[in-house]
Amino acid sequence: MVCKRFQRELAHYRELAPAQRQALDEHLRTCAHCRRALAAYARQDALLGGLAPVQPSPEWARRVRERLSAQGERPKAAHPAWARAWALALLAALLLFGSTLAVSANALPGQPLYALKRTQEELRLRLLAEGTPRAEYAQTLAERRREEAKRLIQKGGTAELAFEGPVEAMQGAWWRVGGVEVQVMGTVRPDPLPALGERVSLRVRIQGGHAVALAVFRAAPSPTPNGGGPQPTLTQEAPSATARPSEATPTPRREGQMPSRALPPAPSITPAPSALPTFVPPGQQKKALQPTPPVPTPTAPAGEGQTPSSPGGKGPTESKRPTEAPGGAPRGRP
Amino acid sequence: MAGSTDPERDALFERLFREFQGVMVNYLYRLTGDAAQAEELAQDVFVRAYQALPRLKEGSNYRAWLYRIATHTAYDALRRKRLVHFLPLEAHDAAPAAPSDVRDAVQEALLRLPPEYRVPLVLYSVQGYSTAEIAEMLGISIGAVKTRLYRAREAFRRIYQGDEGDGV
Repeated sequence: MVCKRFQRELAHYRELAPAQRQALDEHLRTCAHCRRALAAYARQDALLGGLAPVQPSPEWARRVRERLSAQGERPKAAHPAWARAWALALLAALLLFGSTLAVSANALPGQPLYALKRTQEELRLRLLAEGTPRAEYAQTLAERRREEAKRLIQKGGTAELAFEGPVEAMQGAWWRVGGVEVQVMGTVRPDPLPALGERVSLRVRIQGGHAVALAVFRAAPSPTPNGGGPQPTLTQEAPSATARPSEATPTPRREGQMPSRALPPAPSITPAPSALPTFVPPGQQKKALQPTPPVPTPTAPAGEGQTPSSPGGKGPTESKRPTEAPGGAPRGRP
Repeated sequence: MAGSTDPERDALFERLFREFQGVMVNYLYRLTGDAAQAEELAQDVFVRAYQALPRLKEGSNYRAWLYRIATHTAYDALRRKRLVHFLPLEAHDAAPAAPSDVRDAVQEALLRLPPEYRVPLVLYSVQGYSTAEIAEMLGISIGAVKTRLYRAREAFRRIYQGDEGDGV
């Protein structure tokens, strides 16, 4: 039977050499059986190629690394050799200060051990595997910055620091962001104003039991355990208890934030009180506010507040498969 | 680093892992039909690959090498756990349960193929490789790949036709 000759070739029609294809095409003109087979194979390719690809779960890559690590094969997270050497050197140095580190955990901005605390946090963040563990720790750090702000306010300390959180309330110049009450003067308010619940990133000066915003930005989307979200600002704050706002390190620009620019004049905001959550600004509880210091123009210093590389990256996907004519061109491949 | 003192090996492994992790999970999913098992097997593949990396000759085709490890890993798992969904073609006269949708039917038909047919069909039609590339991946001749591919297509056609009453 003449078809016998062509049967196997039909199965890999798309990669036939021109001469082979020409001979087969001539046969197909006269053989309905082979035409049906070729059409069936083309449909097979379409059906099989149309199967939805699956993505490895976010935990999967971490489990692979853990398994290799458990077998003594690999470190928990892969980094370039120089990064590992750098990290190990820092770790060794930090180990020498083990007891100091424990004490530094409760340090607040402006205190001598605070720089050590932040270095330790940053190191740990860098060493964590990309993806969920890093994003979760980033969230922990963001919460820690807010707690520091609250504690500083309670203690009546003086320092500048940056943190971010959702806008929970706005009443005149008094906003509550992530549980921290902050005086936000018109000159530093973003335009348009953030909505309640929207995340903002602030740089504040805390002095005399209250916080005054030096710069306010809309924050990038909240970090999620699946990665991709912003990391908290990891730069060392100006710890000086006497630093004036005009000398402060400008607030960095982060991904998703508006670019640095001259701040607009203070917009008039008088939200309807009934639409806002009620809270009593600390200024009404305690005392009149100190005169607001001059506000620095926020710019984006290199390296500050940058978001680490995308956790996990974009996982490789299955073959790209451009639509193929029956028996036609080869598909894409990884 | 724990256990390894070869930064070049680590760097190469990292590159392979990043490039092929999704591809391997998908390939193994098509062979097993079970996403969780595919992830487990893909873990095995990369652990084996890391262990075997020092023995790999320079200039080797890493992709073919990884696919060869994955294919053997899948064969082992299918044999060990008796997860071969293959039913003899002759015994497939009884009407099968209606699949929920076309994709289920396609995957089901794929799983009914013997692994030695399923593998080349997945590599050719799902992953888009040529018969020459598949031959290198499987360590067999191009002619053997073409024969298996033809038989796989015919077997798939009969199985799917039985399920769907639709010639493929």
